[in-house]
Amino acid sequence: MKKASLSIYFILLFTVFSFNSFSQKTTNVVGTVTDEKGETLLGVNIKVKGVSKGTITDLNGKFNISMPGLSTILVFSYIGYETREEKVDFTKPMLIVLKEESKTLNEVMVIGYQDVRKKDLTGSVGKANLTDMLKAPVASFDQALAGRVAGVNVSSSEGTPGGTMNIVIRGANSITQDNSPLYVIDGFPVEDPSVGASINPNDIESIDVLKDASATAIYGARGANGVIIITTKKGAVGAPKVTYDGSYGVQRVIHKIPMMNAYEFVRLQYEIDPTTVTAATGYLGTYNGKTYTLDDYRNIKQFNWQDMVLQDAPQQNHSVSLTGGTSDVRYNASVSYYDQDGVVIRSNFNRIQGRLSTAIRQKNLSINLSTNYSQSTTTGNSPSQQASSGMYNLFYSVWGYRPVTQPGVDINTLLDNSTDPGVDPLNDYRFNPILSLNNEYRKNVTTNNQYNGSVEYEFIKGLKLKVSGGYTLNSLRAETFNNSKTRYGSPASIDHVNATLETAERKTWLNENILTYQTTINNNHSFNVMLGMTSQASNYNDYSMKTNNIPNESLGMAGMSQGTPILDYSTLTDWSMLSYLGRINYNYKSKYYFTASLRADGSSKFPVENRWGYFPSTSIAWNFMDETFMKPLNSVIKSGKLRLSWGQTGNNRVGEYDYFAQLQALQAAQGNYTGTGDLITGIYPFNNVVSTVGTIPSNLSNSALKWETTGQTNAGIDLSFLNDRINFTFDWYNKITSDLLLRATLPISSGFGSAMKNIGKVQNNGIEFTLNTVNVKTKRFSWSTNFNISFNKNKVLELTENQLSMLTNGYFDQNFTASNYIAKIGYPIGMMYGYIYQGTYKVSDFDFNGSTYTLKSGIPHYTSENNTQPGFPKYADLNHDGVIDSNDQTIIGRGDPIHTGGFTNNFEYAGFDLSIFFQWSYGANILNANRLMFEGFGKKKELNQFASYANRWTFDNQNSDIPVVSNSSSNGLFSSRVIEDGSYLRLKTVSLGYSLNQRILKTLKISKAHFYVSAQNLLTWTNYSGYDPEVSIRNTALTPGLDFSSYPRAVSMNVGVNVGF
Amino acid sequence: MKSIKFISIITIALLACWSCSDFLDKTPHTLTPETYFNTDTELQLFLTGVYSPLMQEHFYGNHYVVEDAGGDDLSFYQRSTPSSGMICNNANSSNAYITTFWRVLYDGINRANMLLENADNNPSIALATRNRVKAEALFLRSFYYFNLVQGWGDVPLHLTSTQSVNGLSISRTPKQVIYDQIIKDIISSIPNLLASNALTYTGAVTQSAAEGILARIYLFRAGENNRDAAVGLPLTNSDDSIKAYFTHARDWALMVKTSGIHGLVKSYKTIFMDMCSDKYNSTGVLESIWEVEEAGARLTPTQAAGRIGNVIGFGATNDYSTVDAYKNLTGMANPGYSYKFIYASVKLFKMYEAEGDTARGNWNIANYEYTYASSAPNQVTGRLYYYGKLPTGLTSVEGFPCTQGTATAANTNKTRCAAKYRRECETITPKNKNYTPNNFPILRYSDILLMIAEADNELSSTPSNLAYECLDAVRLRAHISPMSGNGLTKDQFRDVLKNERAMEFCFEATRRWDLIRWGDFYTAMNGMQTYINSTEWGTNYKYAGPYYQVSKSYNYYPIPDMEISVNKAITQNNPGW
Repeated sequence: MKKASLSIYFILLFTVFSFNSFSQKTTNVVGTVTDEKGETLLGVNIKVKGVSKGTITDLNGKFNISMPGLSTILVFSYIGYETREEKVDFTKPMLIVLKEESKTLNEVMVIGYQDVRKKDLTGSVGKANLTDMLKAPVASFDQALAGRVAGVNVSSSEGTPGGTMNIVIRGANSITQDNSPLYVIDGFPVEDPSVGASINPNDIESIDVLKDASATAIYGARGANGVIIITTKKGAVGAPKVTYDGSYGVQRVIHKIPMMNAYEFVRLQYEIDPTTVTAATGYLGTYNGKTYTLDDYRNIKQFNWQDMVLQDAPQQNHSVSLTGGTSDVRYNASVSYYDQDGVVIRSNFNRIQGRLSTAIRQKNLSINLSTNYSQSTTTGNSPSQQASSGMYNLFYSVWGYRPVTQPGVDINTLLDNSTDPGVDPLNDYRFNPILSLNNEYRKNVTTNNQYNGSVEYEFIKGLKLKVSGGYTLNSLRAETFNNSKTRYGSPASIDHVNATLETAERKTWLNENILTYQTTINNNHSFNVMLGMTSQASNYNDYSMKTNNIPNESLGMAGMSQGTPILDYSTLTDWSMLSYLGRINYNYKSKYYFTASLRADGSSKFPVENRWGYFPSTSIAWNFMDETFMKPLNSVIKSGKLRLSWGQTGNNRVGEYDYFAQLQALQAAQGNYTGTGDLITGIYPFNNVVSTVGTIPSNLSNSALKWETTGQTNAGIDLSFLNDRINFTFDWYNKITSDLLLRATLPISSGFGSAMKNIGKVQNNGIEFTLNTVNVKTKRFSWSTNFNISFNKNKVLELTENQLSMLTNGYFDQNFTASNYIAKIGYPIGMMYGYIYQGTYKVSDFDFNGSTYTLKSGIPHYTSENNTQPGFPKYADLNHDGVIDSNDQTIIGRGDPIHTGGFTNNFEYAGFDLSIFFQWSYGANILNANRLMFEGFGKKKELNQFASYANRWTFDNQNSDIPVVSNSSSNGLFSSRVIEDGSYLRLKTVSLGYSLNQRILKTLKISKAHFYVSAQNLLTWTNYSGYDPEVSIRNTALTPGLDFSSYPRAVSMNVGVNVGF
Repeated sequence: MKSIKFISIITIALLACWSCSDFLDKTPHTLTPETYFNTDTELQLFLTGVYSPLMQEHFYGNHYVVEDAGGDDLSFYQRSTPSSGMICNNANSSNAYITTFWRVLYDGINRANMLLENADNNPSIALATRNRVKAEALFLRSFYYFNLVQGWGDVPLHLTSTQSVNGLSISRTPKQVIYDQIIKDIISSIPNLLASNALTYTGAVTQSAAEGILARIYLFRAGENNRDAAVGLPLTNSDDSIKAYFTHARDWALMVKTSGIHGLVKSYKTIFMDMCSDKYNSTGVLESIWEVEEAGARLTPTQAAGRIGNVIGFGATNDYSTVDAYKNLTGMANPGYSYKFIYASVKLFKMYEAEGDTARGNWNIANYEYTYASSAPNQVTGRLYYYGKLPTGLTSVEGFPCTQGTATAANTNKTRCAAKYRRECETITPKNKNYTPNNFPILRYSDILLMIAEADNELSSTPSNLAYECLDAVRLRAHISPMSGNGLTKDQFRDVLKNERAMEFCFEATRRWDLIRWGDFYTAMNGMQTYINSTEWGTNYKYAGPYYQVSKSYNYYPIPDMEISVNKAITQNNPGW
């Protein structure tokens, strides 16, 4: 107790001194503190060396301090600047210039339950450069994260406003389960990746990405996919400071898909069905005495549906924050509003958000309280996520709707009619896309409430107990209304006018108790020991109700209660987790480092026998440039560190009750299609009793279910050259994930489509380089560069029951249920699978008897098809058995990139700043399923096709390798024909800004004013023929890079301002 | 040092507070097998789940009838844009309808296995109840296996429910082994099943249904050599076994006949009108032995309606389900919507023509079209009979005028809609555009009679009196001339019988299997080109030509990719797939 009271005494003393400038014998010293550019610094800490006395600089960077006794040295310290000691000069005002400190070594890294300086780091942790990221006008931080941190692969499935990003750190471990990292927001672990959208990027202080096991193992069972730690801004000491950030921009789709024009369209219709086309009312019929010919369609009025559906869309962003406080109490508050219209008409994302955080410091006690509220609203139907049939997806109708009508039929009738009268509604679900978009009401409102609090008490110097608690409440309200002008609500639909309301709620609480002790023995041996336990529990409910046959559609959702209730859906789940953790950090003279940690996790998601998992890690590091024998090299290499680590982490991303056998009374018509997850109902209406709902087995039990474990080894080196002008980091890692939690496809003869199993093994290894350089730095001009590149090699090592491969269907339409992806031992997880396309059958492949073409003997044909004709698609007969069948399928593409990276250049000149950011992905393929339907798929009437299909095989165009118009079932096969190179280099963000200089700011009485113009996705270099190569509409590890009717990605141009008062 | 103690106490307290392990015990908010099977109701509800595959769209509710068992020489898919599957000669091993049919059958098998294993969990449930439930489950499991063998031949055999996620790769069991198993199981289930006259409805399995299906199984088994020869598989039947199978087929069918419970309804069409109008054997003559139940019009959360009448069947080409003035009407005022996917082939038409079979023929093949008002909602205004098809003296139905077309080409072409299932007869309102309460016939007494006749003929050198008696009963009901006394040879009798089955059971999802077991499938299908090329085949329907040009592989279904890709014990698909 003696020591503790002593320290309280000192603090009191300090307080007294700092607020009452008196002493026995003093002399005042005055001065100004500036940075290297001559700009004054506010709030610089000034201490008299050796005495507990100090002050801070005022708004103008000035200070005035009285020197006690014989003191003559002042110590100036300021976050982000090198601390400087200066002998006082009583004769004139002092001018102190603080140098920006080496960012790299003293940067604080947040590693989970602890912060360390980068110099002391032993694991592999990446820090995102927030300044650069915030130059992109985006809704959430994850949208600007791509290409920023080596080893962190960020992509979005498509261009939907407000869409969640897919983040994969160092490659996918898990084959069927979620590979997204764990998010830790101010200490609160969250598994749901959509959480990113609830935080205002301007509120973020830092983003740290834990990559190797030494860093992630402290998150145990949830650390295997990497951890992204987000720390939000705390208040800054000083007078209240208000900042406003605002931007406005416009987005546009630059690359549209060329479609066939009226002439080409009619020519195709003629090939499909000459009888109808040449009939009196056909395209080539007679109207007003004129018999139409093909050439009449060359210059006829025609529609381009893409132009009608895609718009120039505005976006805006406003954020106001207030911060200030004393060293006792600091506060930070912010509100923000983000609003983005989608480039597809009637789609929108907006978010209102507010945050308040307070930090209180009293003696040995520090208290942090924060709360965040956000409400995001997404409007509009997804163009790619209609599960049952691809033909329900938006762009099927946009592309497919015909551009022209028969003579005598006003083309505008196409706009008025909900469906095309020439289309058979049972085989083809095309629906007027303009009517759909204007009338389908879809609104998803996500509300996120987060309350965090922590109390930390320092018992004796270095010994702290931190007790924290948090509670989050996430809720979703999804409203759907289909009026009579929509596909699902039209008089021709089954349900007629209908509305659905779904509400879901997830409540999670967390308690953490962390004890740390930090001490240094003999000035050389530093120890930091941490012990803790945490418990977390969560429950989830989801209720949905629907009514059909709503009589008064003009009421919208308000009229929902008047309809017939048709579908009730309700779910309740819960899970809990209990963990113990410990870590020890030791270093000798900041030269030799050793870290070890262990976490034990217990989870309710696993059966009692396998409930607990133990996740150890260890690492060492050596700051070799601090060795005496390296000193001669110090002028070139300022610092250098070698790191080595090993550890195990886990993955628990399975359903709450997956290990139980379950039954269900299933009444809704699930399972109309062939997805393995679908269940077949239990209905059988004996004696015409409609409500007879039987009970069926719905889940297969697995009493052996357990954790998935990832072991990872990492070796790295950090080098800093030429006085920190060049910083270089290199990491090599090797991860092996075993006992994969896998939603395994079962032989359907078992009565189940799939079940959760622990099977298989996956390896990821790779290397990462990061290079930061300051190329030029003068008083007026500076140029710095950041470059990073990462290579990851993913490999399946083992599957279940000696399986050599596992096939999956990346589903988009019920006519394409063949397996199009394969996970094969020795190859990366998500390889594309199908036939090798060899072009079309040529006339020379046939014997011609004057009327019919018969395939020459020895030339293979597609399986049971016995009337192969010239122009049919030809696939490689890999096993040379004369028949092309499922045995001839092979790997035809890779879903994962070979390398990804980012390249940033920042320039500053006389108040101007320019940032140019490139991002790329190289080596991945895309399965462009659009081309399966829009480059010839059966004789589909009145379905427009891509412009490329105009060059299809015909007897007049026999060299073409695009298949002839036919109903051959071989048209719809997955083959190398539709596999495209998905590599791209993107000029992702360009931002040009200007900051007003101090003189003007002073006259305007504001502290900061920055104006900028910025562009997102300005240029993309790619060979991909679809909307955008960053696409993956069924984004799982098994089915990457599938494109069908994806939301186009927009280019956006923005202007903005950032003002501080 | 006090503080250290203080800290230790706090820490221990905090660590201890959750050490109680039940914090991690969660019970699912769902039903589990451990807590089920306790009451009569629960057994019955689980049994309902075992029946459920039958009514699904994957089976008798739609796709089995249209796409899977469709594609025979009596019908064709009436669209120039083909559907996918057996019916349009464009199937492959990833075909959705074949995959879901396979899946729904094995779902039923697993459900049955689970019920068989748990039915006796609670001994306080009456033994008779438990035995009946088990007998129905055992029969259904066998019926599902018969459908698998019929479609695919050798298939994986699961006789216990799936309990573990491992060891599910199971190889194909030879079909003869499966036949032995299911025949044994059905025979053992019969004593515990209800008699057909003990139920007022026909949707559940009874003794007659089991006996009749057993006869059907034996007949199909007897024909196995025919399809194996067609695709080049080794033959598994001997002459002796074939003879034994015909004997068993005849004897089990005779069990139904001699029970005296069943008979033939006087008017053929009544059977199908009953099925559409939610009646069961309304005349009191129990001809319908087993039907698949479909009910309602999808207006409630329980979606118990199917699509018989809508995809296969006869109704309006205009949809009145959204027109307030008509949607609650029945009969011709609101005849229900039909896509009319299935049309009758000229071959079938000519069979009826040759026999002068008008009562049955005019029911199975549409003999009229609806006429419509020219303005929306294009309400039905009457019936326009094809030339020569207007029944004498008929001037109106339900107040709607009946007229007859002239002898134009359009009226004389012989490709017309299959009209066995007529939505006119539906009584549920409002009629849904796409979903119907129409039941589907699995087994009728006329089938029992024709099975006796066929099996008996195969066992005799010349047709016996029994064979003539059974055949003629069916012919006389259809108002066509009896065969007895004509002195037919065995082969002649067989040919007559084959045509009789065609005329009696067309569109009842049996013809394809009859052709296959007779070894006629490939020749009958490819022989259809003669009809296509004839002037009697409507020029607008000639696209159907390629639908018939099947290869011999079509004697079997392909095993779905979805099975083969994960079931490593299946290494070979059926020949040609």
